[in-house]
Amino acid sequence: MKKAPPHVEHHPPHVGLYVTCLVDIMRPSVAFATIKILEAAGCRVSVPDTQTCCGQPAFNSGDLKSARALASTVFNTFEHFDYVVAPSGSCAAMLKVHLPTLFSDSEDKARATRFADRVFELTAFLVHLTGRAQLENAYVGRVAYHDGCSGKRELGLGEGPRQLLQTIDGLELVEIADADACCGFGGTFSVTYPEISNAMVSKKCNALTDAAPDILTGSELGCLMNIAGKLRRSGSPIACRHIAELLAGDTSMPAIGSAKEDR
Amino acid sequence: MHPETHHFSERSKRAAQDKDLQDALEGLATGFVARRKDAIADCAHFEALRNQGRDIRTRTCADLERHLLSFEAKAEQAGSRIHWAETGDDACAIVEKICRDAEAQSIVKGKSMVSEEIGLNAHLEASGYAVVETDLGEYLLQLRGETPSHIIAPAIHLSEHQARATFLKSHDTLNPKRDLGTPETIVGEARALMRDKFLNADVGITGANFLIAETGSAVVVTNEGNGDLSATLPKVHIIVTSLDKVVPTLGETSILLQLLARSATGQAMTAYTTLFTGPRHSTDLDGPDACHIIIVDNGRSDILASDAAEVLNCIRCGACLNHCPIYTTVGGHSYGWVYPGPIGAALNPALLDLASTRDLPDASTLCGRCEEVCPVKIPLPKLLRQWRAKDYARRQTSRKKLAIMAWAWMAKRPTLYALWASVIARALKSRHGAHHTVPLAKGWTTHRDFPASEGQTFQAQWRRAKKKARPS
Amino acid sequence: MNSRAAILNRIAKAGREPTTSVIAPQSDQSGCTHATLDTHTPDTDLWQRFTQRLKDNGITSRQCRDAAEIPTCVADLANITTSNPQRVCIAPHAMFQDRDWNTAGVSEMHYGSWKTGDGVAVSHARLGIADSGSLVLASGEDSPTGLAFLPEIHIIALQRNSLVATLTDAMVRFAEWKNMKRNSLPRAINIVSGASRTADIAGKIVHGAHGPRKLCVVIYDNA
Repeated sequence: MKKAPPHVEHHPPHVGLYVTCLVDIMRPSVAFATIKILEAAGCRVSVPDTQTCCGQPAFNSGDLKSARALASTVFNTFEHFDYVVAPSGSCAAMLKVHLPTLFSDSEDKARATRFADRVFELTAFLVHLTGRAQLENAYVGRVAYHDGCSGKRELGLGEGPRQLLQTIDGLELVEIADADACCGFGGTFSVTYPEISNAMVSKKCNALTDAAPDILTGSELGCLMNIAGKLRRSGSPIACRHIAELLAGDTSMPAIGSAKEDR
Repeated sequence: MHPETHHFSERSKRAAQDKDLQDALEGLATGFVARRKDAIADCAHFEALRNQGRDIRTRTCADLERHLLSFEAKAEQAGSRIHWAETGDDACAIVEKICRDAEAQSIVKGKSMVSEEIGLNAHLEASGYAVVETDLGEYLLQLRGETPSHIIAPAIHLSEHQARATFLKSHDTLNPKRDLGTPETIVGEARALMRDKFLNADVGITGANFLIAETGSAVVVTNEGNGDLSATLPKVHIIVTSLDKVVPTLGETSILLQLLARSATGQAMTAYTTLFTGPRHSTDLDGPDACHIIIVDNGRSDILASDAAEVLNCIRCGACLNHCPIYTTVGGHSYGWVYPGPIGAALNPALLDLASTRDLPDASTLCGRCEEVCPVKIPLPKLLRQWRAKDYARRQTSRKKLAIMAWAWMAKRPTLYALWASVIARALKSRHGAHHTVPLAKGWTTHRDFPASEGQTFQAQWRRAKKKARPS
Repeated sequence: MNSRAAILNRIAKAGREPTTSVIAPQSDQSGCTHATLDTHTPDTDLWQRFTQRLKDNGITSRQCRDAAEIPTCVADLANITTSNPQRVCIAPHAMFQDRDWNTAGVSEMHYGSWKTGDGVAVSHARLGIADSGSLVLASGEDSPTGLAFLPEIHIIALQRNSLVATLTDAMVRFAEWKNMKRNSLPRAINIVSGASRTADIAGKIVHGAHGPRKLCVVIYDNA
């Protein structure tokens, strides 16, 4: 990602980092990597410490009251930022696509829409900033990208993530068959319908084995944990890492589901 | 067809581990999915067609009464008899009466999802009529006593071997040593047997893909030609259809037909697309003497008034099934009723009831492929979420509801949440990098390892890092 | 209240009551509100497109100058020879009558509806559709519908000037085909785009499911 030097602005954009529950609890290194990328892109990054859940599990489970309550907390916490960036397609989609529908009948409708317009998934935000990030991020190896469903179909991320990956020195991008097929994670789905979820993630892992990348990456930690868990159970050597880690050039943390000794 | 939608959970579990079924369903990806992709690549204006298709369906449903009345008037002018049926039982009774009046001995039938929905075959057979399904897939299922597992490929769950075994067992007057070694020979045997049925049938029953208000025509689309033979050779043609099939004009029908063929089988046009308008004319050389059209409601007029009205836009192409990771894993029978896959999960709670179908909208990752491929852009994930919301509001308590409520309660309290997150982050740490088992997550760890956490939450680490950088 | 009134009453009521969604629909950026019947197909190379589509659909075609050559083309397409005689059923269409079928080698033939034993049938198309490689037949005194579904080989004659670009172009014309006496369309308008086929045995495409195993077209210039 060695492009033009960071654009100097009078007012660098103030970005609120929406960490997401999974990154906060399971893999903080993704959030650190995200901050590194955003700062390299000339942003001022703040991390509100009162943030919790975006309400996605409640929304998808039909608990619209809780979804509305949680979404409005995020909304109030992050409203004053120029941008809100999340290293997750599904959390960003919750805030960007679904949140306004929860307020469509209320007086906050216009506010919600304005807020949603400023929410970005990390790679979409980097594309939005058009190559202002300047990072040292070489990685020599074969990398495959898994299109998370929310990112692909709710946010329309398109080829952006792959184009960002291709700016990394030494990285060889490989495609897996049916890359945008769901991996079977689906939040609570993975434990409510374990047999179906397992069949789905097995198909994904078979496609991965055929493509044989060194690393599988993506923008969705839930998917990566699901796939990594299955790969590890079946003894596959393919490592899983969040796209922020690769873009930030920081792979010091063992891959997802892997111990230090593994690498 | 008797609904068994409440068995989804155990049926899908079994289906996901059924090797034969998995092999059969694998063909969907190389067949329908690949052919649709090619057909769309070959049609530069497909996206424009989809927008037109969605608009045609939405506008028609918004003014359905007018279009139905216009259809009725034109169809009667062409000599068709129109019958209105409020329920499936009413529709079956009407068909039975027509067959009785026609003194029918034998009945041939083209594939029709509405007739499956209302249980027409069972009704007619119970009334003493011999009904032969003429679509090859449906015929195989009839011989096996099974129900369709796909909207357009009813026997997709069967292997070539199973088809062969069915014919050897059922056609027991034929030489048991005959050659049925290829799909061609199996099809050839069905063709020969079916030809007799067609030539001797008194009544032919078909469904309709569309009803055209402008002309009073019923459109029937098949690749085999069985619908046309059923509609042309017997002296009575009965069309069993539903009120959502009406399209205002010929031109608008042409848009929907292009979407249907490409989305369903990946053809520019299906082999046989026929507009049937009334019985034979006095100068015609063939065709039935009478044409009856039964317009079935069976709950649809109530759906029209609900927030699920968009499901009525469906043109039954089956693309959402072929592209659904759940359907392609569990097959159609897991869904327990006529309409499987995403459209079934959105439609069945409306046509049946939510209590017995609640698993169908729940069993989805909301991955959105269905909406992405829908030729008329039905927002299926939105509809599934709506059913989930209704089910959530309907249920007093359930384990999942309690879990969501507990989660939401805590997430509304940042301090408590941060504390809880720290505890979990610590608990999920492992020097092995992953856990083989995790309490309360058996569903996950039966099949997968659970990746370990880093041990401390990001928020805790960030607070410390900031303190270090800027000591106060 | 009878069923008809009850159903229509409920539909009318549904139309009047505004529906509120639990989850409001997302905004639509397409801006497409009305179905225009423009199918965006450039009107060039119509002929080339048609012949290519026929090929894609597995339809064999022959071209000739005059309708008088149709019998020879039929014999050729159906591979009718003295060693392979076949009985041919011919639609009683003006274009087929008073033709020299015998000289062309079609010795066993009759006009009218299909009879058991007819291996080949010949119909006349009202239109051809370039976009989809389809042929449009309409039932009537000169066109029995069964010919398209009962023989082993179905041969359709099409006059060159009857070609239209799209399905929409074809279908909007159907409205002009009304029978004056009944003021309605022909009983059956068949849009035929290939031989009879099925994929119901393990997803493999097999031709000749119920109807013709082979579909052919004879395209002629002059009547």
